[in-house]
Amino acid sequence: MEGAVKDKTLLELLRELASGALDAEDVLEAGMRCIRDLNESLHAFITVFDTPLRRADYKRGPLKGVPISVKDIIHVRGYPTTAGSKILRDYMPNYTAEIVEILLKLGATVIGKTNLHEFAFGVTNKNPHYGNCINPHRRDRISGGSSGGSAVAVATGMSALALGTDTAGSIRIPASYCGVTGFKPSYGLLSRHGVLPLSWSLDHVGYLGKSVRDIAFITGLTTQPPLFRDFRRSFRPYDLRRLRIGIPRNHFLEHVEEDVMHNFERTIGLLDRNGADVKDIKFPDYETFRDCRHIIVHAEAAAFHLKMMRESLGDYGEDVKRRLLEGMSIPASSYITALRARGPLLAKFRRIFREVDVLAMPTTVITAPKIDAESVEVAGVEFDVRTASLRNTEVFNVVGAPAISMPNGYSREGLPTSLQLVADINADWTLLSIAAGVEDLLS
Amino acid sequence: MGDYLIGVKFGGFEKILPEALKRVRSMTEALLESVSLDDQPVVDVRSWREP
Repeated sequence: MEGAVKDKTLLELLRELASGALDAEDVLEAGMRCIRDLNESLHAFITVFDTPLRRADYKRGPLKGVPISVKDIIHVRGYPTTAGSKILRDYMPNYTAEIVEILLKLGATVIGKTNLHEFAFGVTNKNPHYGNCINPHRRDRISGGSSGGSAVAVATGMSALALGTDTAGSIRIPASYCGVTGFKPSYGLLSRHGVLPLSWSLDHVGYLGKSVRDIAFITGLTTQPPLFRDFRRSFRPYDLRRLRIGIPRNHFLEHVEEDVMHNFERTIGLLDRNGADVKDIKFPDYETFRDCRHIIVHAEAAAFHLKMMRESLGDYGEDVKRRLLEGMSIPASSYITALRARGPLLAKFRRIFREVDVLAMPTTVITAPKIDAESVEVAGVEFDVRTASLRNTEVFNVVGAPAISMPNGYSREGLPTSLQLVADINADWTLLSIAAGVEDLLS
Repeated sequence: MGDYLIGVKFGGFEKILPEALKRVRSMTEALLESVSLDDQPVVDVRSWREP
């Protein structure tokens, strides 16, 4: 999508395809040209399909042939699912993931498989096997991960939309670092059938796109059953004068990079001035949420990888190998205790929404770190890059709540900053409606 | 345990295991504080109902 075309949102493209102002072949070719120009340096795709995948009757579907990219942990029959690993370099699934089948049936064109942090078990997307995924805003920065290739594909116009997965922030973190919109729906809202797991209990499938409305449209269209019949009638931006926003200042805002905090406070001030009811709240037991997630993801990942670790431990990247071995050290009783702790945590989390409609915070407390950075200093305290990146995202996977990351400005270095909105479980449509209202205000 | 853990040879990584075990122990203690006799494992949050 070169020139003006590559910057268009999904809904803009669909309107122009419907009116005949654009042709599906032109849209596809513009995206492929972006890939040819940029993929060698940004490493967004692991596999670009020689022949893009679409149905013969794609023009009749609501997606009209728009190019979509798929994180390379999601199966597409006939192409390898490498999971960003050396171990699965030649692994050919014998079926296509259900969510991809749905997209194809709706008229999408699938153009390739995007780069990720190896086995989706990391947040930097520094990949020793397929190249580090590079931030398009500054080439000395990481894209973030694990769905880094999907974020870069959308940010550069290689594809209008991308599929990702999120176990602790893997859609929202790269969306934040690359300046696109990323949505992790409620647990199980979008099909995980045909998606290699990192952690069965915490994995979510979701989308990265150019706008909240794009995300709402595609999410509502690909749930089973779809959430709407007529998008324009069903989806309205939320009336911000009725909106109650909770700001969890404890933990989430305690250590935030100066420019990220500045843009967050500016966004909240704007909402306040436009009639939203903004109040500070205390988020309960943050550390318990975090510990719960840590144990579940490490234990489940170690179980999934046990056979591969026995056969090919030396073929894992060092960071992922270390995390998997840590997972091996978790006794079953600890893992089950973590699963039991989810109940009381869910109860505490849901109580928050008696007082507010959404929580708001920066998606990431930092902007995209340098590629070679192991740690970052935030408000005078040093954090490793992983901890800083996960700080505001990981707890919401424990409760399976919907969360969206949307751009809200730039730092003085020209790097994107983002706002995260989080709603109660299954309040996905309301959250998207609220996010659309906020997006309108920010634009 | 030796150099193997459930069939996985972890030579070179034995140094991280004591630290990992310590961390898991501490996290488990904290999680135990939050659970009551009625709390059952929640694998799929969609199946959870408020007591």
